Amino acid sequence: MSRLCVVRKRSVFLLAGLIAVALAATITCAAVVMQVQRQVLIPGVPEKIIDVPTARLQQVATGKAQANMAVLRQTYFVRNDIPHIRLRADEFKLLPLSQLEYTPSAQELQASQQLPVYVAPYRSYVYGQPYKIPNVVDHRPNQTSVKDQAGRLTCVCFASMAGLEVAYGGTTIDLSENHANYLYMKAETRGCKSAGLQTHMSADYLSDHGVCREAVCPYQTSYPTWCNNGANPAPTKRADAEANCPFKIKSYYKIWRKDDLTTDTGTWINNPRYLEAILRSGKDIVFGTHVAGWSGDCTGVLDVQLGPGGDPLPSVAGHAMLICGYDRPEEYFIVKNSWGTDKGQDGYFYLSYDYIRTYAKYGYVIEEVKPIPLTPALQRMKTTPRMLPKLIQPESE
Amino acid sequence: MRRLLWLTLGFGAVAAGLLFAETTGVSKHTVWVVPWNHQGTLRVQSGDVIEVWTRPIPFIPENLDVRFRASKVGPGVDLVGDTVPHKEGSMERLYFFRAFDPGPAVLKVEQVDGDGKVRETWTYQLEVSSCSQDQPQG
Repeated sequence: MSRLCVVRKRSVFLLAGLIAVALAATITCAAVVMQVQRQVLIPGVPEKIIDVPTARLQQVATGKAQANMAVLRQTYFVRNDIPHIRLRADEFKLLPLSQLEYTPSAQELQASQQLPVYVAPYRSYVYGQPYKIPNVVDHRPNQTSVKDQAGRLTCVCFASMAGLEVAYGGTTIDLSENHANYLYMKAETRGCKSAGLQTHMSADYLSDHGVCREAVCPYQTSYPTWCNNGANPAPTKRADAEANCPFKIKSYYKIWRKDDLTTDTGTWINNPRYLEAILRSGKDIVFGTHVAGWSGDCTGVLDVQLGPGGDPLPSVAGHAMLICGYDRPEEYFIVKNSWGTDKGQDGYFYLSYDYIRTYAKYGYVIEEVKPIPLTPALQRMKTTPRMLPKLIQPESE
Repeated sequence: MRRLLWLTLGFGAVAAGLLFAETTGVSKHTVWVVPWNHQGTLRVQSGDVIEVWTRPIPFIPENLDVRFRASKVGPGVDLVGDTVPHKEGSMERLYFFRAFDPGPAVLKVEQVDGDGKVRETWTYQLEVSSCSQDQPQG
């Protein structure tokens, strides 16, 4: 009996030991598998950055609109000829295999139509639907009239004011290039005369200070007035300008150049596909470019001219304009210039895709503008209840 | 303690670099930035670079054919390159000259029309001294 007990005890211990070993092995295997997955999918855990091939975005998507938000904040790039997208590790999680494919709801589809532009071409990866971009986008009807900078070095003022005017959405809003020039030169500490500046800096200055309407500070071809020469304006004029300078950028993003770009990829100013996506989303692009090979009235498509050595002509100057459309079959962008309506196509220039690839330097897109405060009259109308006129009683017969 | 050691090593490396630059003369070569309206003689040392900025003219249709060109008179100076500044609105060019041998020299920048006609000329007098001399710069 006692021997039988000993054997049973030994069996129990043996069984317990086996179970313990099996458990340990299972846990170890699971840990190894998890670790492998972690290494493969999350190589940059310390930085919380993950590079995922775009073809796998459906697998990466958390399934709901949050996935889009994660995708949207990122940039994409090409590695080993495979498009990747860079995600922050804390912004998504992997889906179980059973949930990899799903049918988006109508609400999600609607939300996807409002995605930021830099992810627009990749909607197909998120929702498995082909993203189609129209062949032609032309925002010329949304623009204010083409201006003429005359003999001054103020193209950045005109390009940025054109961008701000269209961002406010009114074709009749006429903003002051003179005042913009005053603000820019003051910020650049360049003294009184306009001397040009890097186009992208105007976005910073316009988010720090508002500009006024053209009527308050009209453009002049000479320099002596207070609104463009950087001198202190008379108190009355200063107060007048400050009270009438509500036009200001609330948010924007800059677009830079990548010199060694060999294909049309990435969120760069020299990637025509990216610019197409921005224009498709309804935004215009204020940009700065090198100038080479321009001549005459510039009525045709301005393309890259090659020098005797076969290289593109060197730059002779810098110029700022507003990209407001494109024609994909003909491969050119529609650009609003500030040389009056006699040049180009009624003041709009056509720059070829190759020109943009070769010479575009940088730019920015205005995402949101500050709301315009109501005028005192409108404020009164809003706050004071209006008395309805008394009804006239019809005279009794 | 370990941090202190790293700090000491870092500062030591910086000091050694500065000493090396001083003894080899690396730090003595200067880049002179010359505005277009500069007047008076530039006194530079051999090895110095002279960066001449042209007059900024507006980039407008009337100036599409305008070009700048630079040249020099004097055996001790060479035109080593040119570029455009990253700035929109103006037509400007930067010319880089390098001084080699002591002696006088003249730098010349011209604004030229499309048909080759010279619109305007700017000249800058240069006096190159040997590297060992320490002269006040004018």
